[in-house]
Amino acid sequence: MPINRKTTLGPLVVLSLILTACGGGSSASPGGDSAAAGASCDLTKLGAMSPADRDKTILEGAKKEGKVLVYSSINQDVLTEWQKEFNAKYPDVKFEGLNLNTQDNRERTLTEERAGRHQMDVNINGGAELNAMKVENFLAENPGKVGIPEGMDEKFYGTWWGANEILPTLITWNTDKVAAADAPKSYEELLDPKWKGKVSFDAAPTEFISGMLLPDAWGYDKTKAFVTNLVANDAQIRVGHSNQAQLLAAGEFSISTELFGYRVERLRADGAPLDWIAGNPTPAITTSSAVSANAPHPCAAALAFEYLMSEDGSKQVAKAGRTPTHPAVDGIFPRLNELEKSPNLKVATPDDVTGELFKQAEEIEAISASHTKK
Amino acid sequence: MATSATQHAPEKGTEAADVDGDGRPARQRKPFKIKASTLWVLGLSAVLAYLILVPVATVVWGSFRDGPPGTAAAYSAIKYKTAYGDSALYKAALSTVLFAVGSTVLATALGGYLAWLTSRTNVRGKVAITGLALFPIMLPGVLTSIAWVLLLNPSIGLVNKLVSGVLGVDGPVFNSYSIWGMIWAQAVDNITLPFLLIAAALRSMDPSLEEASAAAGASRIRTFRKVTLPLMRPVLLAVGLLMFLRGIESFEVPAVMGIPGGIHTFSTVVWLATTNSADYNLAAAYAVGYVVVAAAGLALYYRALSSSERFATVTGKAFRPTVIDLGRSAWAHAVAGYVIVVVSVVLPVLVIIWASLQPFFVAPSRKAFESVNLSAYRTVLQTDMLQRALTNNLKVGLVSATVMVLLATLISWVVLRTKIPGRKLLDAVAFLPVGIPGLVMGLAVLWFYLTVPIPLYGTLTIIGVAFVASYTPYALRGTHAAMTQVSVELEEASQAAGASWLRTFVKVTLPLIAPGMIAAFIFVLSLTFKVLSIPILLFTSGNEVMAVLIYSRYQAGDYAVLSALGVVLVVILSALSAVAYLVGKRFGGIQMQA
Repeated sequence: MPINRKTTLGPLVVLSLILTACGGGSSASPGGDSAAAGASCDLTKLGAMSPADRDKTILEGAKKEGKVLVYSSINQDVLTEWQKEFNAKYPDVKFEGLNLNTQDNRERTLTEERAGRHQMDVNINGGAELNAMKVENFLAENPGKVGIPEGMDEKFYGTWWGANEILPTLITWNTDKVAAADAPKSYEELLDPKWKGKVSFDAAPTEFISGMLLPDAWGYDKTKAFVTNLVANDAQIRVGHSNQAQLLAAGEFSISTELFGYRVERLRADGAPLDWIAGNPTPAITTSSAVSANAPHPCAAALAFEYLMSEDGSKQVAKAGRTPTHPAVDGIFPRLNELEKSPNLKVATPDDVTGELFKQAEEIEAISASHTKK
Repeated sequence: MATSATQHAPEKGTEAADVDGDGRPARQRKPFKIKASTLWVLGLSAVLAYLILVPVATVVWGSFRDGPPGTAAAYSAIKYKTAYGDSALYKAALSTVLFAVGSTVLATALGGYLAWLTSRTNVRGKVAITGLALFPIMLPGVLTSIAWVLLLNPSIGLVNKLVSGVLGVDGPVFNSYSIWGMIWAQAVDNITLPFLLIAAALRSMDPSLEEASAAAGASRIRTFRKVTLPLMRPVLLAVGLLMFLRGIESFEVPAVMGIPGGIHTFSTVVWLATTNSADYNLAAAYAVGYVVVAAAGLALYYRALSSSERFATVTGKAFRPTVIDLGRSAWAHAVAGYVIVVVSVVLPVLVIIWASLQPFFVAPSRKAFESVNLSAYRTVLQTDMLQRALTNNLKVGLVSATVMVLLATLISWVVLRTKIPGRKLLDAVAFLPVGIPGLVMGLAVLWFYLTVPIPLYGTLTIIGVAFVASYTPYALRGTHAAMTQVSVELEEASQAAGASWLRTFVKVTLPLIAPGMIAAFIFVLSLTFKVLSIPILLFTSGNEVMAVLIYSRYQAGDYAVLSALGVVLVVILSALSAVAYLVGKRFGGIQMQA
């Protein structure tokens, strides 16, 4: 059968439809232009200016740039509130946020930046992840402490990052299953035979272990021994902290070794039968913000960073039940506010959680993740 | 207009000589030596190469590098050494195989039984059973796994409490954290694909063969064993292959139910090795292993179907699929059907609904009923992102699903109806992505579009591209099995009457395989809503899809909101499926019975 118009038309129509579809679809504008204003919004330069000049430069530059893209591993709820408030304050600068978990955030950022695709202006992530980005020089130095609030505790900021919240890990138990008198008072007590099979532990408790590996916490040997003995005491291994929290509240086990503060307090506020103490040391990680070294909108990035670190930005963190680090803002849970001042608190900052520390943490994690039932 | 088809066609029913020496009677293997179809095949290959081969090739390339693109990486086999030198992988082999095979057999048996009940018998309540059997593909796997833990865990499992109470037994009867618990959860979570495909196949079955068997005196069971089952071989093999591959790759059930019990499967070993270090080159090396297994499985599938024309059940004779009157055993079958649906689908859905009404999970009790509230639904419905995510998902889902089913149909047609050399390779290439875990596929697409100057990065389309690459395999096995059922002679007759091959394809082939196509469409469309891993790395602000919302809630530990989101998703997808079903009924050439 010869090729005629009818038979060739078909495949060509389909092919062109597919190709058109490929070109269509809503597109977010890929990394905008690095405006000339960009050069003056380099954080180091900004830090050297007088506050008045700095504010003017940032605001004018941000208006010209028109938008800022933030990659955030903090909750979507908080991100949405930040977005609303920022857009209300600065209607000429559009705040766009992507909510990705810590690892996807890191992977996405690293992949894009390595390929030279500079989309991200500000990154909000855990310490280990930000450290991985800094090591490849994708985050900007901020020696002048632009945006860092007056009187902020030194352990909550560095030369290139500022913490938005801390996540302390708490020893938590179900009050229906554990009488107050029997409640554990330390990590060591969890190794007691009376708690055999009744204590839960995460399959990959990176945050807890990273915190414990810090030099002024337990260090490698003691952390490894603890995890080994905990697993040997028939710890109930579960994947995911929120999973654990729900199962603890439901009564599947009696104690959870380490749960994040705000989750426990929120469940308690909802009426869950839970109580907690902070062990010694109390490992805590941070969620911190940092500006991209190749920000496509550098002035808007500086503006966003300032906002996130400001009292207003911190109030959104507090509203969500999380523990803000701003000196003038308290969280809504008094016990966590107290904890923030505790000398036992060991905060693993983006400077602390280096690649090597992370590797050590992974080794120890493997003990719980690959446990097998006897 | 005479065609090569009519020149060779012997009379129907006579044994033809094997004129082309391929071991099959000439009557059934008709080379369509038509130039226009070659154009289609070339076009098809180009599309396939772009959509599917490119990401797969990126994964394979990534597996042979020791670092991600943009770093000082070199070609190396180190990742393979790390991946396959790890003894943990081999220790997990037995559990993985048990898990995959067990869940495959169970899902196929349960889904197949329900399919038979609803498409071939006069049992009551078919619409309800059909509707409920579709639920599992609408619910995110993480939700259903957690639901099964809440139902079956040894200390507070709801089912255990109930059953132990009723039986007067002391300890728990079921254990979610066991290989049996895992097999059960995986099977019921995957009951829909067997159900859809087997039902479509049964509807396309000319009952005259079964009637002949009954007329010859065979009992219903014997007819089933000797006639029905063998005729179902293509679809059963297709289902078995897909379920097995999903089983070895599946992550949610082994993570939520296996790890607590100290049971490890390939997917959890891979997760452990790659999650913290985010070593995607290592993940790629693992993915290539899965692809090899998928290829081997496909080869076995073709072996088993070597003389595919034996399975043609839709022939030149007109027929109406008969409904078997179950007579006295109707009530028993009805009870069995309802019990299966309740135990496998309704129970976890009830748990999810309950969880959406409570701030945190508690066993149902009078006290608990007092704290029921709708705040989770308020949160879900008030999120402005919900509407945007739904719209985006519908856009990208409908387009991708259509592209996938069309691609799959065309490929199946080329494989089954032409003699173009290398056509099985076409099928294999389109099928191989089934072995690649979603996250790896998403990353491969990310890597590719960041480096190559095709302006798709940051668009909704790139998510669609990743969907098509990942889910076409499911559509493909579905359309392949469906087309195997349609005898070539119908198309030959159309050609003999003077229709062009395109007209034949559109007017004869498509309507006959419509049930299979609709089933595949519904399935892959649901995947675009439910699977979390693929869109996560590719979405941008404004291009969120449902998976992004679901994942965000899961990460935040907002189980009530996550459950509410799941319920909303089920409602929406049920409506979509109903529409697809009705469209199929109107368009399909075979009566699709409710």
